[in-house]
Amino acid sequence: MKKYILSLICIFIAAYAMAFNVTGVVYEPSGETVIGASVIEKGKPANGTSTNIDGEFSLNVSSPDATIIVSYIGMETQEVKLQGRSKIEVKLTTAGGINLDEVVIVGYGQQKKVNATGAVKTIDNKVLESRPISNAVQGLQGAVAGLNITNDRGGAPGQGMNINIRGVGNLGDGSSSSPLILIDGMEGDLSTINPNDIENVSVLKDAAAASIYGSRAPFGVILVTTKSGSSKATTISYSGNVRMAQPINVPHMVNGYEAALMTNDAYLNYGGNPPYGSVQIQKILDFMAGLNEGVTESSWDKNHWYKDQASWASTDWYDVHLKKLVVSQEHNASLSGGNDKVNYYFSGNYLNQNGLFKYADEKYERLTLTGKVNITFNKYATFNWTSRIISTDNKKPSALNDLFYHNLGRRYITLPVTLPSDSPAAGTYHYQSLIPALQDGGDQIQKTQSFYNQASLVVTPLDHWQIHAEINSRIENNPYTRQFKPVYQVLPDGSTEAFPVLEGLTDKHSVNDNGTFNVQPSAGENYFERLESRSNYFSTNFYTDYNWKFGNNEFTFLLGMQSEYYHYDRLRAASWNVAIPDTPFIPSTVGDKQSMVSDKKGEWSSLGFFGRINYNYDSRYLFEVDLRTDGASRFPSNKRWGWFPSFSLGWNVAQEKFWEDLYKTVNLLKVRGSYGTLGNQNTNSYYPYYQSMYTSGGDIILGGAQATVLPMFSPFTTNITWERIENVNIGLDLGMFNNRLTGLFEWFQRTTKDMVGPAKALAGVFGANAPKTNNAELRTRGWEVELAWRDNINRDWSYGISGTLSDYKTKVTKYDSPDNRFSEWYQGKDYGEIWGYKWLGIAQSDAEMREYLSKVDQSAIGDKWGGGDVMYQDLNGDGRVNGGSGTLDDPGDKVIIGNNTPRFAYSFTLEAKWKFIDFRAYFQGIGKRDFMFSGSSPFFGLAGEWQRSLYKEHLDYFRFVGADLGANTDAYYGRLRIDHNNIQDCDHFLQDASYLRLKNIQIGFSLPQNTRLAKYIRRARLYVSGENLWTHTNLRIFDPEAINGDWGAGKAYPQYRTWSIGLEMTF
Amino acid sequence: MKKLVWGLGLLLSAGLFWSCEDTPENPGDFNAKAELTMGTHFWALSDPSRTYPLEIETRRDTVYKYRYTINDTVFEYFNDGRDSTYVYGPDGKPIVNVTDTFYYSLKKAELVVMKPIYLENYSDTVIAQVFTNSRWLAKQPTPSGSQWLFNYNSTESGGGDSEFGLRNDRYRGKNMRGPIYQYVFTSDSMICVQIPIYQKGSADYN
Repeated sequence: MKKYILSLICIFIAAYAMAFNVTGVVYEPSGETVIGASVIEKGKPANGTSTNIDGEFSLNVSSPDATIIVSYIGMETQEVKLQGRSKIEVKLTTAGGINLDEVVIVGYGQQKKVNATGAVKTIDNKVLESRPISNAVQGLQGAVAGLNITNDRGGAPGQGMNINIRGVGNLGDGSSSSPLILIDGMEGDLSTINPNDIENVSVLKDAAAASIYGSRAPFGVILVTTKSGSSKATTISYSGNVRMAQPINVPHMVNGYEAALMTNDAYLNYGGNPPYGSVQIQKILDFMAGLNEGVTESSWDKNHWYKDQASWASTDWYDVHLKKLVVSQEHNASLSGGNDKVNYYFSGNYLNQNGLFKYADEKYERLTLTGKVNITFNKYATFNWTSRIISTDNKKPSALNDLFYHNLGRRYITLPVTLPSDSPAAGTYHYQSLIPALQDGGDQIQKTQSFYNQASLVVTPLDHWQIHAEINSRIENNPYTRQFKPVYQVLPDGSTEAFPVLEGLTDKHSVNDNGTFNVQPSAGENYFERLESRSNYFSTNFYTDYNWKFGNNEFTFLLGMQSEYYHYDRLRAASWNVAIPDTPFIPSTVGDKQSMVSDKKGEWSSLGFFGRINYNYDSRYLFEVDLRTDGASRFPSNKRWGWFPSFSLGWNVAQEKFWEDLYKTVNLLKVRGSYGTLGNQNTNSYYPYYQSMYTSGGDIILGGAQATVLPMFSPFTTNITWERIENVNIGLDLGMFNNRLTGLFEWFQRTTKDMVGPAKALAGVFGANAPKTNNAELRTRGWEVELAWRDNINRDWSYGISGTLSDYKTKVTKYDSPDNRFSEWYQGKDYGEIWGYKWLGIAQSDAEMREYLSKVDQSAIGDKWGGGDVMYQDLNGDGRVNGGSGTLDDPGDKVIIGNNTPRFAYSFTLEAKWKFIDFRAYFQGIGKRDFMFSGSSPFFGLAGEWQRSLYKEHLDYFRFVGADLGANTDAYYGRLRIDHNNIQDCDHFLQDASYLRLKNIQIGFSLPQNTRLAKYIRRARLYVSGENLWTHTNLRIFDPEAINGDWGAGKAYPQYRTWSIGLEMTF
Repeated sequence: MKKLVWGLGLLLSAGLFWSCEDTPENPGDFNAKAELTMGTHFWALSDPSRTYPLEIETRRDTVYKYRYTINDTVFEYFNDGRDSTYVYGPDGKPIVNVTDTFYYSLKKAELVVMKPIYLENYSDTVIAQVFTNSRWLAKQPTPSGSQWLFNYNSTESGGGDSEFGLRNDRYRGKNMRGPIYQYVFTSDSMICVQIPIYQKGSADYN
């Protein structure tokens, strides 16, 4: 009995310990209940539950004063003190107070997603979090359908990327089609802003969305909103990572023996004499066996070393020059907080990124400091001030330019890296190794120093009526220096001799029309150049908006004006009479023949007035109309102003009464369409309608000195005016299962009318080209799809899958091309067309080639044809293979074989969270892209007698049985030759440059709430993240994002993959 | 904590493994055997009905010994800035001294000796077919006396099945001259065809 009573008492005590039952409902900001939200008792992680299908929960907690923690994916976690309450309601919000499933950021405001009629996509900063990227542009690649961010030039520190929204908008023949990028409402550079400062990014794709920004935004707008303070307790955050990068898809050169045999084959197949004799080949084999050092003094000039193909080493120059691993780092700290009156956000970010080349002192540094203060005076007025300082420093050797990548691939494999160890030059590098030029040839340093200031005042005279006044300023100072120092080689007798830093270029010093200097220094030259560049940008926005709701009707009116002014000033000076190379300065001089100066100034301004009316009836029927008028200084006074209207309609099907039963499943189904016209004022020149003349050094001597001349001006037009861009967009928005599944579909057409193009050609006797005028037209059509699924399985598990897919095609619909040359623009041309021959096959013998040539003459594209050479198809049946006259009417045997426009851009993300472990994998790719490496020695191995880049892939060339490198009759390449017979543009060599890349993968471990440290650290996360870790592509030899450079295809800075380990902490 | 470190380590190792890139290999087939046969006859370019049969006399194995020499070209150097120049011998050619000779690479090959062919005494050009899977070489034959047989169109090499031709001068002599040996061999010298060639004299027409 006693035991029974004791047991009962224990049970009662235990029950009392867990006696308090609390029930409640969890809502999201829209007012809908949340299914699957996690509810746990604070301090007792084992005691928890999740909400049911009605958003309800019931939990026994330890006491009436317990605290419960409610969390749900995409929402801000909330702690609720019960304070004796047994029934509670919890309304969740998203971090930062904006629920991006519910709201989109549009021009000059926000709209509920359910009411938006334009093509707008807003994403949060998760796509940028914890990624070892150099800038935000890199991080946004593939994140939004229709936002195309591409790069063909590899991964140099500070490398920019191409951005367009929904494809190209014009031909770049006098104007640009870049989207407008606004950071907190002011134009800025997305590549320099601190990615950690970004709160969300909104992409405005169609006219309805972008028209409010007028003539600066005809090709879309990217709105970046940065983080602000909040009225919560002060928060200090730190995040930092160390990253290790390694180059990827770097070509592998053949060894010296293979290079010698391949070169001999190329000469023999051409009918020439092989340059590598048996003696030299044996020396190469001896070098490979470690028996000699690859070079001696030459026999024909005792005081110079053997060079070019006269040496006998075996060197893979990519292995020599590229590092295996490069370490970089990034640190970010922020302080935010405030109260009901004042809140603030301060942050600092430092990035140090090192380059991939061993002998190049190459680095990119970025320092950003941001301060934002928001003051709420009273319910009528708030004031916001933002200042941002961005300083970047990009340093690299002057010899590390596009010419370097061209020359690196062309290095003779038989050239040694160092000179003989038993000579006076012991320990020095062969001058053709490119190493002395990198190490000692001087540096170029580009700095950017930007100072942004933004002030905004918001006055709320009445409820639902706001007046905004914004002033924005950006001051930039971009100093640049470039130096070429004398570099010397040590000769066999111990003396030294200067050689040029830029190999293979003749001496040149000239001033380009844009004020930059074209410099090819001579051997031993001591050159120094300095640029002082300043620019000021100033803009004001004044606008007012009023929201009026009565009954089921809701109007929002917006009226405003915007002004912009931009001025730049660039003074550049150079001298190649520098006294002290180690501390260079431009010497004071009068009439010096060894100096150059250029002084460029420019300015433009614009003024715009805009208005917008949004109407919705019961959130079911939506209508928006925008009207903007802009005046731009770039056009003549009688053509300065343009009017740009747009309108859009939408129907929220899911809000209809007949949809009530389906609403629980499909909570958002909206059909919308828009049409609008925008103007493009972004001409390349600020003064296209002015006569322009540029002074330069002439080819005449007056008074013993080179005269400065003013050449005859080119014809110009006073008729140039706005390009007009018409946009049509149809869209469908979808939300299902309480927005656990969301999706959208868009179809669009964008036509650029009155596009700047060439006027009718003038007679040759006139002596000048016709000026550009508005006489061309371009059309882009495409579509976009996005789908996303996010869910909580229980309080521990949540996951998400999302994907984007988009495509576009661009066609020139009007162009004045008198002869329709297919190598130029013509009416009906698809953007990115590639023309070429059709491949028939490789002749297996001389007899087969002779038989073919008896029917088809290939003499127009080469001679001395034989077995192992390529047979091209005679498509037009005229008995000859040639390119005709290169026109549409006479293309010869050339046809359209492909298109190099990146098509079917896609991405997909897999993310999951289990307790304190989170995982995210982000894939990005291009579904279709053709690329032709025209005349490229890195692709073909040889593209001319002196253009050789012999890689392992090039060993797959035709060889008969008995060849020293083995027989290969079923080869990819024809015989190697030093001419162009077997490297014509044709379908066989057309490359598939599509790819799928694991852009980012990361695993994070967050500090659990029940640890002792959680008392002092609000949040801590340790993560491992990787960028570009895996790539699938059918592209031969190259990385699909490093295929093009200024000196041709295949000559670019390598792309790289990065591993990083990082830590994020919030106190 | 230990599990965390192990997990991170495994992840990094997996990443390094995935990071390895394949290096392409040389697809060349070193086991393929060179083959070469001559066509059944030479034919005259001016009259294809006039033919000279090509028949095999014997086939035997032979051994090749490759060699190369180290040469030293003699130069004269000047201290007054002039460029160095060759030093010429009594024959008017630059003096090149052979300082060393290296022998290497003994290879067993096949020598195919054809039956002799007898060309007419008037100038003519004859063509023959070559059937081979290799590059072939057929250098202009070297006579012991004056040169009277030449490669037609100076073709001394080809690839795969081909034709090659010879051109002979008119011969006014009485007695037959020759033989000149025309060799046709694969680029790896594994098969060498030897064709003895004579030209009839006036006495051969009686």
